[in-house]
Amino acid sequence: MSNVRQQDIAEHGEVIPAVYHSPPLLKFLGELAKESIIPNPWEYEKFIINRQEKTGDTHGWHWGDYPYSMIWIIQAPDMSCGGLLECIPHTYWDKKELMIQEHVLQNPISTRAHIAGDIYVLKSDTTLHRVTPLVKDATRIIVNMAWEREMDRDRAVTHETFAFRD
Amino acid sequence: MNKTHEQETKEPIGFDGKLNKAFSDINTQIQQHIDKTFCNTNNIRWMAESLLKDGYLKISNIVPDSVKRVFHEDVRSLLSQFAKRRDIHIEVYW
Repeated sequence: MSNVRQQDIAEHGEVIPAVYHSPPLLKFLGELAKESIIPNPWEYEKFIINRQEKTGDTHGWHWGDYPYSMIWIIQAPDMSCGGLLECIPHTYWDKKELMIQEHVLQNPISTRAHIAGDIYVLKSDTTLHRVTPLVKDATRIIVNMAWEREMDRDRAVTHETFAFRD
Repeated sequence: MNKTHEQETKEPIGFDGKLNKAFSDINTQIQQHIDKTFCNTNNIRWMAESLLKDGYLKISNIVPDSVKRVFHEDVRSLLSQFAKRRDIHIEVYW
C-alpha cells in the first residue's frame, strides 16, 4: 500500500488541511456524534492518503486510536476486486488482549462497497473494522481523517494504528 | 502488535488558518451547504442514531460538490508528488 503522510499533506496540501480544520464541519460532526470533537492533538494522525494497488494489499482488522474518522473514497475498484469495508460495531479494544478472532466469530459483520465520491464517518474506536484484501491488482484510494473528543483532549494515547489507518 | 514500518522522522506540520489560502472559502462553502442541506433537525437525529447503532454513517453529501472536487484534485496532486509504498508487516489475525 502506498501512502502520503500527514507531514507532506500539511506542508504541500491546501484543501485537505482546510477541510479537516473547518469549524462548520467540526460543529456538524459534533451534532452527529452528540459530543464536541476537535482536531487531533497528535498531528501525525490527523489525516493520511492511502492507496491500495497490488493484489493482497489490505488493511487488517483494527480499531482506531481516535474515536471519529471520516473516510473519503477518491477511487474505488469494482467490488469483485475486493477492497470492501467490513465493520463490527460496539466492540472494545483491550490492548492487552485483542481477541480479534473472537470478536469476528461472535458478532455479525457488516460489509460495504463504495464508489468514488463516497464519504463515510466511522465510530472507529469502538468499531472493529478492516478493508478486505484486493484479490487482483486494482486501485483503491482513500483519505482518512481522525478527530478526538474535546473532553479527551489531554488523554494519553498510544498509537497502535499509526501509519496503517483506514 | 509488532510493527516493522520505518520510523517517521520528519516533524509534523501544524495548521494555521491564516496561512491557508483555501481555508476561508472552504469554510464559507461548507457552512452554506450544511445550512441548506441539513436544516431538518429530525434528519440529523436519525443520522446520529444510525452512527451510534452501526458505528458507520455514509454521508457523501456532507460537503458540496465544489469542495469535493477540489479535495479530490488535492489528493491526486499529493499522490503524484509524495506517494511512497510503505508495506507494513504485522501479525495477521485472519
